[in-house]
Amino acid sequence: MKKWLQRLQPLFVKKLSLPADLILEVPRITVVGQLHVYIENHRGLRTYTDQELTLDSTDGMIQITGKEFVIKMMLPEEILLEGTIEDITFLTK
Amino acid sequence: MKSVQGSFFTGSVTVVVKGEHPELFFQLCMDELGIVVWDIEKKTDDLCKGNMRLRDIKRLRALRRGTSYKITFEDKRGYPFIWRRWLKRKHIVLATILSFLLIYALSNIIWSIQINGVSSDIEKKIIQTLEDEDIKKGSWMFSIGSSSDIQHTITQEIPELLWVGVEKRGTSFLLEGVEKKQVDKIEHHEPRNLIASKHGVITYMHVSKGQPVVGVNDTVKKGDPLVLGTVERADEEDEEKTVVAAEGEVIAETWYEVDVSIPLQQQTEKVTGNHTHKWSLDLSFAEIPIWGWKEPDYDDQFLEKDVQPLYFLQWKTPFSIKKKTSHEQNIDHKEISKEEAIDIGLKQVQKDLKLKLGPDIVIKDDNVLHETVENGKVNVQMLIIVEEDIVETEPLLEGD
Repeated sequence: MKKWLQRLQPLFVKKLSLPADLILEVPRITVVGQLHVYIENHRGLRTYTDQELTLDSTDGMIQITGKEFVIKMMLPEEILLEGTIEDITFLTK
Repeated sequence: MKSVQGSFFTGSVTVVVKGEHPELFFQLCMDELGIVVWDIEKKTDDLCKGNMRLRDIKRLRALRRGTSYKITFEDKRGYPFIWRRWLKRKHIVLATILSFLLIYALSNIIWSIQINGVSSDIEKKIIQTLEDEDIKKGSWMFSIGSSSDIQHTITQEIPELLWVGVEKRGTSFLLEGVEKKQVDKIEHHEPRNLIASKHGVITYMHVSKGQPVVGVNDTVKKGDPLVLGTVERADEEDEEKTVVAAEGEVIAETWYEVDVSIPLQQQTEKVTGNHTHKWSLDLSFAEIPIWGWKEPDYDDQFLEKDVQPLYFLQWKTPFSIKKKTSHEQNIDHKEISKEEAIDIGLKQVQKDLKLKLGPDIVIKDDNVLHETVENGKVNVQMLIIVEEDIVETEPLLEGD
């Protein structure tokens, strides 16, 4: 049943043009220049230093590297990162 | 930045977490308790700082017990902390406020009354008058009237005073008085003639110096000579002329044609004597009533406002004491007859003439020449016969 639903979801997105981040439980990342990264729908903090931030997501991890990182705000499933962003990488399981 | 907003009012604390992977402690806070954290900074590998609301701190302690992290609190910001700090110095704050209030109150008290420029008996009278008006040392500044009102009462009460200047300077009250002095009549020594200032018929003459050239019942025109300053002395053998300053009184009948119009609809406002006072403190942005809440149920009223500014030391503050007095009045609408209107007009004309020509004139007769009623008004043309002094001086020029 669950697997069947999972297979059906991408179909919904494509055929009914629904917003992908709502239907699929994938993170939504908003980047403002090199200054801010806003990540919604993540699954928790894994590591954080002033040069690196790693977040869990539904199918893997998101790694953000850069300099002078400060977590401006941390809410459940939402994070606002400030600093100089250099790289955003998706690490799949 | 939703979470940061309003953190000033709830109060916020900087939490320093020490341990392995300290950032994960904040993640734990979030997962377990839903605590919002902002401005997380990693200082070193085992040290992390973050801000939290004050109300979340208590719950944080219970969570810490089950972990190996060490937590210290660093910076405390926001209103609750400021408030607590203030409470600690309660007595100082209270004393400051009280002393300000005291200075404020004392700034609005009269501390001294200075009277300059008058003799001591007049000074005593002024002090007495001021005391009757409840102005003395220790009275409230705002309970007394305006400077011009005080000036008016003092000059009314003390006829010996020609003028008095009242100034409120800070907490002192300065009065500058000028006494009336009996000025001796200055004799006119320059030779002059007396001439008529108006057209009229002379009814009375009294010449103390000079040679009269007209007599009683003579008609004179404006500019006609009445009394000459050149006197011929007939008793001398040689005809000698001397010049004097002519002096005398010449009363003549003069005529005035006056037009007046009087409306037939007369409106009179009569104050019944019923009045109510309302006192309020005006803070310039709001008005706080102090005394007198009852709204008077007068059909018609007129409002009198009296504003007394409050002072702090010598500076005017934006606050003032306002006194509102509403007087009840009745407005009468009355239709008057033409005769009554003419009578009113006549009185008005007589008053105007006395104002224009001086109080010494005598109104001998009045005749209505012409009257019309138009647009609810009576237009009257009147002839007023007046007895008045028509003397005007004219200097005698040398060589005349």
